[in-house]
Amino acid sequence: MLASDDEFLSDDELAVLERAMESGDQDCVDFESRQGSQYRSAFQLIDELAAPIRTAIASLDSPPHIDGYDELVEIARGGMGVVYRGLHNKTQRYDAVKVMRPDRIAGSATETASLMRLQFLRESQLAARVAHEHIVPVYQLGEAGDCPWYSMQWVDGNSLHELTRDSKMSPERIVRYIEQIARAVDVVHRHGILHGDIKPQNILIEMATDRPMISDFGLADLDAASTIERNAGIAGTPAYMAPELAKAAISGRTTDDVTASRTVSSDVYSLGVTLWAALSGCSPCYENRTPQEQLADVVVGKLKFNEEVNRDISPELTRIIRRCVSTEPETRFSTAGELAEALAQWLDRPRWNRHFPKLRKLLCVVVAPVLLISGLSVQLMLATEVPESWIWLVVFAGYAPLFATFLASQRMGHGARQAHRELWSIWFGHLCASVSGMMALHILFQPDVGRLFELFYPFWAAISSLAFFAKSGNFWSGYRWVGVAWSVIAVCMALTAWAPVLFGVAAAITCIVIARMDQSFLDD
Amino acid sequence: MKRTQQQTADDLERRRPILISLAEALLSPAFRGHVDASDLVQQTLMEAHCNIDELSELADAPLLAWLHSALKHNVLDAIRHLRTAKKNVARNVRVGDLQNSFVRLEQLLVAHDTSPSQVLQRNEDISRMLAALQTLPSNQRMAVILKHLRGHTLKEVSEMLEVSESAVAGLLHRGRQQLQVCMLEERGE
Repeated sequence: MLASDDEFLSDDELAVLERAMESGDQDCVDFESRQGSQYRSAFQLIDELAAPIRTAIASLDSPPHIDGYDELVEIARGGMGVVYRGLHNKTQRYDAVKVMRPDRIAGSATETASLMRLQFLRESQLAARVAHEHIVPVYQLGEAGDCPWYSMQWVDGNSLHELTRDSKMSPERIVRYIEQIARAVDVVHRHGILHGDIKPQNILIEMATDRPMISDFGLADLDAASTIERNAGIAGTPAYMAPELAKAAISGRTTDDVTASRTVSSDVYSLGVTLWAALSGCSPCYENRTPQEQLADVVVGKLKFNEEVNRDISPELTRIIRRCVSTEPETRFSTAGELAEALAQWLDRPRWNRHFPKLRKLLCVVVAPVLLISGLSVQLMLATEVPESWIWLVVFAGYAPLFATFLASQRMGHGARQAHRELWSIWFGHLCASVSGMMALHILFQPDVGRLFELFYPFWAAISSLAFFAKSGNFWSGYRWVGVAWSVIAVCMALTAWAPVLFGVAAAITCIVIARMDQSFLDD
Repeated sequence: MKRTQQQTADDLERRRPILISLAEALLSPAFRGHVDASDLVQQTLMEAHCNIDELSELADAPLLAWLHSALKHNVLDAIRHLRTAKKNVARNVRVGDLQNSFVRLEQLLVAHDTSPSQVLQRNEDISRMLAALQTLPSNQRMAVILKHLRGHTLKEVSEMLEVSESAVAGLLHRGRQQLQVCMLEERGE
């Protein structure tokens, strides 16, 4: 029996052994004797088993000692590292210090641990090379005992995740953040560096400047390595991982394979999911799923943005997100820059309702009836003996509300100003062409007013068709179908004696269709 | 695989000592005397018994996760209660810290079906050690928890337990040997 050997060692002798084990200085004590070796094996057995729990508990209490930094305060804890805020003792500036979690290393085999350490250092060196105003700069690398660390700029603010989770943020603001981040990501992509772990948690918004900054560049592999090896719960969620990466991860290949499957387009995918998550304020994966199940969900696309329609997100943004999160990498935006461009366009889109409140209502309630009444009136006037000039006045009455709106909607952003100018040109050209057509027909068919209008209306409809085709380029693409419809209407007008009525009805319907379907009218 | 209620009840009982040791290791020595680990575990297991239908449906890993999360809530509640009672001991503890430590322990001790076999084996050994801790006399158990699970030195432990360093060394040695014996017996079964 082991217990009976106790008698051979007194408590004082045991205290000496205990201190020797603590200090690691085991030469001065005789561990070779039977009691000594038994003592040591029991100590080591219990200590090894207790080690993971000890590191988990110990890391709560005291921050590690980092050379050059004082006043370390724990700020956040990720899958791989703990982030502290520390005062740099030379510059007297607060930096963020990310330290690899000691309990991560404690639980792994020696080889894995040294590999993880090496990788952490390599990745932080990579991150240190990246410089951009929207990327959190890395200052310094080092090692505290066994744990590697790096320091970076302390960003005073919250992550996009916290900001969008706690309160609703305007889509414009979120899109602006993601646009800037996408541009930054694009720049580093061109240097051949991939981020690999873009998610709202990694995007920090500096409070004073409202500037989004992305952190943890290139550190994804580490998180992936630790989560996949441990199959564990809390480290990096796979929710933002592209399906091709999830597939590589799930097939149980090494993390190097996952890294190899990482491309520019997998970062584009993550940017798209990040945008969706920030806009909707929830995580893309369904609740109560383990990381394994989440990975499987990502592979088959069983994610909220694929299965639910979020009415809070405008259809145009939904289209952009869908293009990012396509399961086929080839159909995504080919670069992050392209995505940024699409988002910038969305930000600059004309929003007529904002520049001129109730424009949509105006189109339905005022412009459409005016056009309809003018068409009906012209038809009536042609049947009676009304002077020609009166008829022309009624014909052109429809332009009045159109140009009145243009004049009223002056205050707009840069992109919208461009659109405004374009619309002015198109509709002013429409007016000029109509007036010159009117004059030419007036000269040709001087006394025959009936014949004059029979020709004028098809001509007018053809010009309108042209105007809508011109608008379809930079505005709602549906305008080209409106253009086609007006071409058909022009032909119909030549075949019937009811051209003015037909015009009035068609114009009124067009107004209502535009007010209902053109995005720039819908979004307030 | 569905278990019967009796099997689940036995399983819960089997885990009682493991949970107590964990709770004891987690509670800072400052709380001793204010919060009792075995009460918290008792409360947790009572809750488990109330939900036994639901728990019988679960596999091993989710069952353990459920227990950890229930225990976590009870520990947090107890500490919050201490705080509202304006006890000095609770002032310096951040609730978030405790939450974190539980998350990490869960990771450590929940044996996932897909884990490599060594990890499973190690987790089983750790559970066995935690269970065996509860068979020790309380002073030996406290010494081992402070020394090995909370990482204090011999000197610190002797100050905390208010006994001499030699006495602590004796407690530790006998405690560890007893643990080793218990674990070997358990394994042999």
